[in-house]
Amino acid sequence: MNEAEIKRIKRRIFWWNFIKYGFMIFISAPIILFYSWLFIGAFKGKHGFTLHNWRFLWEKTVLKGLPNIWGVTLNTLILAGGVALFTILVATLGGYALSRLEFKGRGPLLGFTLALHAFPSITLLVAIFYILRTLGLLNTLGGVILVKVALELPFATWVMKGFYDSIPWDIEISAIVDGASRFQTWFKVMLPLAKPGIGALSIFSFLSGWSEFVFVYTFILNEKAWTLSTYLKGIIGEFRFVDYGLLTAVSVFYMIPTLIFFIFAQKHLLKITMGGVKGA
Amino acid sequence: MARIFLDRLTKKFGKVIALSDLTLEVKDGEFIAILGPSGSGKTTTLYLIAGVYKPTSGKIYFDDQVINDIPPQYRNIGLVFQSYALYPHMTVYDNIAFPLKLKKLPKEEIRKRIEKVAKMLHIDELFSRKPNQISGGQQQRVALARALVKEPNILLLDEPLSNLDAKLRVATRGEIKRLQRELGITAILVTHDQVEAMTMAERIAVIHRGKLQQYSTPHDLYNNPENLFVAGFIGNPPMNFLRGTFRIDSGKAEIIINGSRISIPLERINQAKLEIPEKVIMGIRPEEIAINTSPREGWPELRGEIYVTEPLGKETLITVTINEQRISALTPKENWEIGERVRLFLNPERIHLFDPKTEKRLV
Repeated sequence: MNEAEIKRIKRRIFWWNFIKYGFMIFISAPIILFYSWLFIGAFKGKHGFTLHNWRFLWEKTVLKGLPNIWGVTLNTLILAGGVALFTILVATLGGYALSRLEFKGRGPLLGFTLALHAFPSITLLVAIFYILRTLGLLNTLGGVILVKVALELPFATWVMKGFYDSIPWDIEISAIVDGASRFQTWFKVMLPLAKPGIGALSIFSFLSGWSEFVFVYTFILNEKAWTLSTYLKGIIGEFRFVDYGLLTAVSVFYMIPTLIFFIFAQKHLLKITMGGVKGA
Repeated sequence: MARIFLDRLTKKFGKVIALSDLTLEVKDGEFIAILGPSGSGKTTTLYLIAGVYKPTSGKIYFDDQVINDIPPQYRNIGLVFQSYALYPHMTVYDNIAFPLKLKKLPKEEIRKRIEKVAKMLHIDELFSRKPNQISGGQQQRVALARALVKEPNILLLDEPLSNLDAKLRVATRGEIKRLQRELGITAILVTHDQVEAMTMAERIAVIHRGKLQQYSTPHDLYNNPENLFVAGFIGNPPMNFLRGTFRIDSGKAEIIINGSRISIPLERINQAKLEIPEKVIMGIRPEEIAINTSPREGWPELRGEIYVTEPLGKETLITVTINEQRISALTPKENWEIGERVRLFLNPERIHLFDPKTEKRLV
């Protein structure tokens, strides 16, 4: 290999990288631009930097008809936490049964669970409305939690099953021979080993509850039970000019949990694959 | 301590018969091995004894009690897996303590028992480590400690040495055997490695395709294999098998292999319990064949060409072609040429005859 040849190869590598990175910058530009606009907008007033957009944090009423932000935030936390809690509770048990126990209809149930996940839940909106009204759960956070959990469960159960599947049978048999009952085996051995799955799932279901809009907007008419998503919708309103400064500031506020989560869990997340097989 | 008796045990998985009609007795305090190739049903047998599987038919006795319907957690069994199956999220100490904590023993008692067993297995330095922070050999000891700490009636070992490197395997082999003697515990070792079975167990049950082939002492299996499978499975290098024709001619018994006559002492033929058919398979171990020595009285001779030589250190394994068939012999001499013509002398007392149809040993 002579010098000219090496030079040619190096040039080729340079141009290839140029094309690769250029393409990637091009397709990610919209995302970067949107978020930049959002963050800048949140701190920008008519004359440069301002915190005026953030007045919703300390002023009781920002706009007419908008409830106080802290009550709304609490509601959102209850909704997201409730969804995460109940999803995990059912999925860790259901996933175990699907992964480890032999029972009639296990195969069809597995298939059905997957099909349910693929089913667009929005089509159920009207039916759920009637059910919640009959149950007297309309206008309550509990009702929305119930619906959300039900819709999260197929996916969550499937994911948990994947995590249990990746735990060798030897370990479970060992626990049983060591004198544990099936329930003790699940609780003391299987559950701790499925921790990465539980972690991932609780975050995903929490964020799913946190960002829920359609069900809250449809089933909760009373502004006392609003969540941040409906609060945002409230700012946009129908018969007034939109205060974009306020809107972007609330949006950034709304994004905080997601940001915190991705900053802290990024490394950990990359190690988890949804099949439950631990990578790297 | 317990005596185990398996009475016509059968296990089916759907239509697949994993184990059929196994009858086996393990005496109190005895160390036996269940030996067979993979898929032979040996692990199934172990799991039946442990109670992980329920037998399709047949009975399992511990002492005089039928325990078919007793769940595994009440059988008081110590089980060591090939994978060790340590609980990855617990420390070594917690791993060993797990069975005792489930029994709700007082903390002091637990600590005492763990310290005793850990000292015995030299793992008392590792208490605070996690399983992935210790070596394979140490993991194996921890698994053994966890099995022994509950003072089980029966110790079951499922390929416990397979994941250790060769040197450690030999050392651990001896240690487990020693430990079993000291504790006087009834133990069953499941393995596919005949050396492991021969060196550790008092008796070996050879299993093939879900059926018991032979259950006897290592010596007896080696010297008097009941069928072709046992003869070929036990012993390393394996026994030679040559196809031939059997006949009795003017008061002499002989097998004709590709034109060469191998005569066999008549009194051995007369001891045969089964009738000897015309077509037979002759079996002889490589160590019962002498190469190029001076002719020995009564030792039949075969001639052939060297096909390949394999030095084993102390001896050399030589494979010789005799017409279409091959035969291996062990010899202390080192220098052999491939293609060299050699004379083989077979020990007439150690020639076995098998029926090719039933695969049973005749002589």
